[in-house]
Amino acid sequence: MSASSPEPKVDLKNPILAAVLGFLIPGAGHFYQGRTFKGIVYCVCILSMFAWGMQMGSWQLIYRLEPAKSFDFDFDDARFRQLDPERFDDMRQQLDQMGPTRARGKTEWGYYAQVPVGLFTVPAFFQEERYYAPSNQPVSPESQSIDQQVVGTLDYVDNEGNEFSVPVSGTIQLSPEEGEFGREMEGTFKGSGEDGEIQVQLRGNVRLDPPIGANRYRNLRVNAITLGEEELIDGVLTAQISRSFLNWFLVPPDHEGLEKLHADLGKKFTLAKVFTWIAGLLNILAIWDAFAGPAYGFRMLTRKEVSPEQKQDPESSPETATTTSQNPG
Amino acid sequence: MNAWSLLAQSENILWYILPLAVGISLVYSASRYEETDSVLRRAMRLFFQITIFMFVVFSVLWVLSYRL
Repeated sequence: MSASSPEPKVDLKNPILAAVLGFLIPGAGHFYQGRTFKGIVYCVCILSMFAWGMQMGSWQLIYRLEPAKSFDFDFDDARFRQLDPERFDDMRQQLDQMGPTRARGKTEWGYYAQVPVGLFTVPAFFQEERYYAPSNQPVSPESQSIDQQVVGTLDYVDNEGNEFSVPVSGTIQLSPEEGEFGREMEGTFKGSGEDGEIQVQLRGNVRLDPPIGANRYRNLRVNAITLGEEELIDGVLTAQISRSFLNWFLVPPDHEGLEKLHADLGKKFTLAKVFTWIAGLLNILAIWDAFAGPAYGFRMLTRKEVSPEQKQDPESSPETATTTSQNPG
Repeated sequence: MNAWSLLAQSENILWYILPLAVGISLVYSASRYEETDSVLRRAMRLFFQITIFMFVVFSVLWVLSYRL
């Protein structure tokens, strides 16, 4: 085909619809337009780059606001312990019961580079609202009962001073009761341990992470009083309760979680973010292509196909000499 | 450290440049042209341009940091 012959036009169908589809799922707009090869290129390249980055970052890289540090635990722990040792435990317990309704941090500008990946990033905005909602609190004696399947560990010391750490799985049932020192949680754990079926009496302070959080599991910690008939010394049941997909996917991480991620991943944390940023920015090109067609034309012209007039024009390169006949609509 | 042994470390995050460059080249070229052959040819050219440029930058930085 020579440079003077008409270039085939790209049928963009409804370009606005194609752009919206391309925003929601990279490449979807091109599939709608019947541009299968480009749809595959965009879909595979952008989504795999995005998924790779997310996987490297433990799926916790999408957040619009940096989680704020709520309290300087290390510094204040030491100070409080010195100033008022009796109130220290109460204070610490209250802090443990604090939910994610804390001061929100600075804007995370990288989020806006990730947004063009559409369906895989926009829900983060709504998940953030759910996460910071006043109802998303850790379970405490003042709140609801717990009846859950759990997998965890029972740590205790027996009467002879031997320490045990037993992996357990089963059902935990806890409800608020009026105890000797005010309201506390009381209940049982029934399930299987190393030596068969076990039943554990539970009572006292309970710490269970809020229902909505960035991790797939909620951590639970409760005092264990008896194992069968045997009284336990320093008995503690720690367990994990799985969150539903909607309650962890694209939920912003808390400050401590993000610091741990930084420590675990090192340089790869930033690298993972860069992958998701680039994926988002590349999808802007794909969206524009779905809306307006290819930027330079249908195909790349060889040097022979470039006309002598264009060759003489110093501002014209072989690329700019190609047809740009695609029009939206 | 020798530049080659630095690059040869499998943990070196510089290797992530390669798949990243492949993705960027393909998507950028696909947004420029429609024809499959043109997209692939241009993507290949762009990939080599990016890779060579990064290698030159790496070499310059390595020379500047020699014996530091």
